[in-house]
Amino acid sequence: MKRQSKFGALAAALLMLAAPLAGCASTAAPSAAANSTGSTGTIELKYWYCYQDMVAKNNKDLTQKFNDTIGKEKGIHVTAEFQGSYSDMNAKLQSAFVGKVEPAVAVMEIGSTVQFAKDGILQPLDGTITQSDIDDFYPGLMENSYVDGKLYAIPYLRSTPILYYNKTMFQKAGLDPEKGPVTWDDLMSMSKAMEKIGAKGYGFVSDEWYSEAFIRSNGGDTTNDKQTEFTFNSPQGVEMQQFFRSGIKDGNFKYYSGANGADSLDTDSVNQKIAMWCGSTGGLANTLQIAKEKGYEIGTAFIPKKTQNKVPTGGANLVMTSRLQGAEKEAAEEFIQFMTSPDSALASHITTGYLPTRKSLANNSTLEKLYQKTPQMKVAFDQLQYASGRPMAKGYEEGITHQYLDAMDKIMTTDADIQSTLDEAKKKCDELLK
Amino acid sequence: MKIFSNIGKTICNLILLLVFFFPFYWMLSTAFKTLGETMTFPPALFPANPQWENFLHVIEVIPFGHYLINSCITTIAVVVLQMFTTIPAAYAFSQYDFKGKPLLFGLTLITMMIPAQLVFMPLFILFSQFNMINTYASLILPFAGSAFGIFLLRQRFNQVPKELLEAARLDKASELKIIWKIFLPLSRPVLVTLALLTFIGKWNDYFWPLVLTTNDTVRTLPMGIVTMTNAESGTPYHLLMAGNVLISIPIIVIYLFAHKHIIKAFTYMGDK
Repeated sequence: MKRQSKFGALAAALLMLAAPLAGCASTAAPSAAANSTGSTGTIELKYWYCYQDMVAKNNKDLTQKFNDTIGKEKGIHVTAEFQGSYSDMNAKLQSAFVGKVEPAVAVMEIGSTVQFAKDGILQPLDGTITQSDIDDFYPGLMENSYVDGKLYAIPYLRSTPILYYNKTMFQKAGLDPEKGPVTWDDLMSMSKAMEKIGAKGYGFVSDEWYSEAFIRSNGGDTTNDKQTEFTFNSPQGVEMQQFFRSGIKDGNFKYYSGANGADSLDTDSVNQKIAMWCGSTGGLANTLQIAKEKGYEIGTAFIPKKTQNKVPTGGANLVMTSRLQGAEKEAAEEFIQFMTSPDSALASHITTGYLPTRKSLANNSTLEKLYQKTPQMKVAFDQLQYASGRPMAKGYEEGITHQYLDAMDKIMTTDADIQSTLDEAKKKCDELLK
Repeated sequence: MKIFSNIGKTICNLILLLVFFFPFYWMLSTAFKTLGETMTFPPALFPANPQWENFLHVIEVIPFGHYLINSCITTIAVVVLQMFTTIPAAYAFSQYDFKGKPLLFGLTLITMMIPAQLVFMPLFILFSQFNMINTYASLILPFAGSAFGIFLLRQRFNQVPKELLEAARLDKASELKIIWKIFLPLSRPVLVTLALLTFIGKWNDYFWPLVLTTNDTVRTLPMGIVTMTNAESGTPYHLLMAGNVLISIPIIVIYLFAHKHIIKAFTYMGDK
């Protein structure tokens, strides 16, 4: 008995030690309860964003500007809170919604909107922006904004794939450094020209985004219109794979297989072992900086076309969570309007390199000056007219990133029959779209 | 013959040294490179011009000082709390006989087999109901006890000679005194090891602060480092490595002080 009472005393001592800690914890941080109206009548809203560096700067600067102008006038204060990558954001938004600590407004990777809208975490934004505003966005950027006919997301930080090429290598190989490849045939012949200087031409990995771009530039697509089945085994899809495979065999292309493929490609591009590759518009600033450091020049071009120019888009939109109503909802609408306005879109474009989302920016004098200084940026802007959405059916991402990319890897690294390999992959992943 | 075996040993040691040392060397060297140099092939073993400003840049990009304080508070609190919970628990499991002891010990061990990914959701909801999201408590309390620590210490306590315990009891020493004067001094290597493992585990913990925080109030350094990877503009490896250098300094310093105890602890455990 005695032993146990001593043990009890120890436990009591422990409790005493833990108590002040718990106490300090509850005062250490402000309450997490998300969005509220404070005692002074100011509406407090949380805004969640992804990624650091210039993207974070852009988010913080714009939020600050909102608080200093419209917010001050209308009694709204928004706190911008960083949440990691897009997938971190998705996981946290789900758990925060269950815990009732979700933000009012969040950025959302364009492909995730359907799932969050269908789960009831988002609310429609039909009344948030006017029709003339909607018409001002490039239509390709709006394709991922609608779920069951309702508007759920407004374009914010958006990107497209573009073709990067090494101007210095072009010059050495006797090509015109001001002209990148326009067609698939150009891509092949310009790659071939790099043999003269002992380098490879076009370097590529199996990647869903760039595959979407090339298959669309051949008049095909990765799914049917309703996104109920995959169509990457269509004649256009087979022709695309055929083009890349023959590129490896006879066209001086280089394919990077495996998990580190993208990293190896980056390294080869920096070390001038390949002359052309695909990348996001979002990577332009970094690519230019490295090129400057290493002493070569970079040019940009549209994704080469076979039959048409058409590229998918990427990046994030702004969404609003579903519990907001009344004055708080109106405040969140003000914030979304501000963040996606032409002025903010221009500021975001200049700060981050993401696309200028609005048509009304087309003849903007600030942009014209910027493009004179950095003509590589203009390519992304010009390609915007050919932008389209990405498939966002549930199960699409899984099907395309596993079965399809595995099939592509098999086609590029073995002599497997293209049609039957793609047919087989389609059979496996069609299930996911049902 | 002896010379040959010595040479063999030295070569073996050198290879092992390379295998373990190289990643650290690579981290340090990359931390001083420019972005272009990180992608140069073949890679340079040393940066042409050490870029000290990489470290400054890391401190600017993420709220480094704030994250550092949070890391220190959560890590030290967890280490201290674990000592207070695991020592009495291990003592009880080792020295007392009570009803349901095997069952309770079994339950304790089972908690080691449940990954954090399984329990974070219910805990998140629990903490949010207590209004404790974004507080230190939400990062500390789930780790206040340690099944591994209880197990490790119990094994050591079991090895303490019964005679010592009986002698102390004859002299009417209190249980607390027995723990303090006999069990803890005899278990010092195990305690140091346990504290260090907990420290490293908690200091490097990325998952828990990631899922349990929604703003910067209590976020810790590993989160800050990981967030420097950007979506579409490529990974700034030089900055990532500079951050990693900064974050591993405390662990290396503490290890230098404690490594004798750690080696002892593991050789002891091998005995029985």
